[in-house]
Amino acid sequence: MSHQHTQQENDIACSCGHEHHSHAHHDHAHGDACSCGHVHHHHDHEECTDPNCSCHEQHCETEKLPGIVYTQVKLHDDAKVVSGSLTLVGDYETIRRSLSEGLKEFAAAVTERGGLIGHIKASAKITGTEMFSVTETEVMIKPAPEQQIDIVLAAIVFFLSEEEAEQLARKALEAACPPA
Amino acid sequence: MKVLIFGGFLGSGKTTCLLQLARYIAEHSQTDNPNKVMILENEIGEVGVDDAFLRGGGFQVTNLFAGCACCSVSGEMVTAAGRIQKEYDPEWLVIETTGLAYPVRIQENMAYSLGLDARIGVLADASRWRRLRIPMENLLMGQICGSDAVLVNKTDLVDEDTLAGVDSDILFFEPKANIYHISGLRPVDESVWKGVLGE
Repeated sequence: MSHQHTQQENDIACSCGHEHHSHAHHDHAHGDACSCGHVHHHHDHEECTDPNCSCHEQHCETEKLPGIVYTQVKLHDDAKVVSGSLTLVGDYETIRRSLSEGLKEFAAAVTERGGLIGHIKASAKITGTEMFSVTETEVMIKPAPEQQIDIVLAAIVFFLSEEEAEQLARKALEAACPPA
Repeated sequence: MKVLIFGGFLGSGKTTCLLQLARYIAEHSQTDNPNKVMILENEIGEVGVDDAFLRGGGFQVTNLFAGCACCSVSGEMVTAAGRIQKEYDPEWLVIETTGLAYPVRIQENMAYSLGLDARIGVLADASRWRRLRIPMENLLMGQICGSDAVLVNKTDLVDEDTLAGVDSDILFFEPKANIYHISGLRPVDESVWKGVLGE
């Protein structure tokens, strides 16, 4: 039994100064070691007929590195479904504005190219740390200077190629990256 | 366990309205079932955005990602719904579909596989209706056909003529449609939720 999953291989230069990857698809069989170098895990979705494998479907999952934009695209009928993620460390207010601007430009570019937006949405999970310490009577509270922001992007567009859709999504996420 | 399939095209406001609907169910329940409402959130992409938003509203959400419950992950949808029924047996299970799903297919699957009769509530985006009407006609029609209630959302963004046009198209797609006009950003009247839930 074999199936496809995504692989991130090709380094590309990006204006944000970080190392990025693009995606390609490859096949491998259940239970086989994969040479893509990414972390894999199994999910038990349904009964598997392969005696060497307890899972029904195997996924390729990358360890998410800060500052690197991850995207992948798939086709569903006529829709191009793009998923993306990016983890940043920095000032959320700045990143929030930049991401918002990036998404606005994404939407404008889809329309300019004759595409149709199904939806373009993102969420940001903001994690901050504060340290509490006490030596005598007073408690000192020190917030960490920066926050970790985990951004995920989900976009569905029509009448654009898969490559265009993924490229525009990637650009939107890159816009959130603070200048190097 | 009663089941509501909550569908509608991409960007029509399903998640925003679902938060209100879930609150309505939780606050107006007349049973002693501790699990008033559970949400099965289907996203076609590999990542979820809406599930975090719904969890932030305090609701129990089960994710079904990377496919559409009406087709590519229909089996997983049945498995997930069956597990929710077995483990929690909530008063209501609300399935929020992807914006590309045909709710009737999910309804048929639920009936055939689990013996559950599901209601269908569908949202339509009044503000983008004219833009979507022609290029997305088959999908819009397929989503609305067979629904129990059609919520025309974002009515605050359109004029009366546009709204009348949306209603006319919906009735062309589904002559028996029960149409409600709402704005999901404002409190939705309880009579609308009663209509959606068949109360």
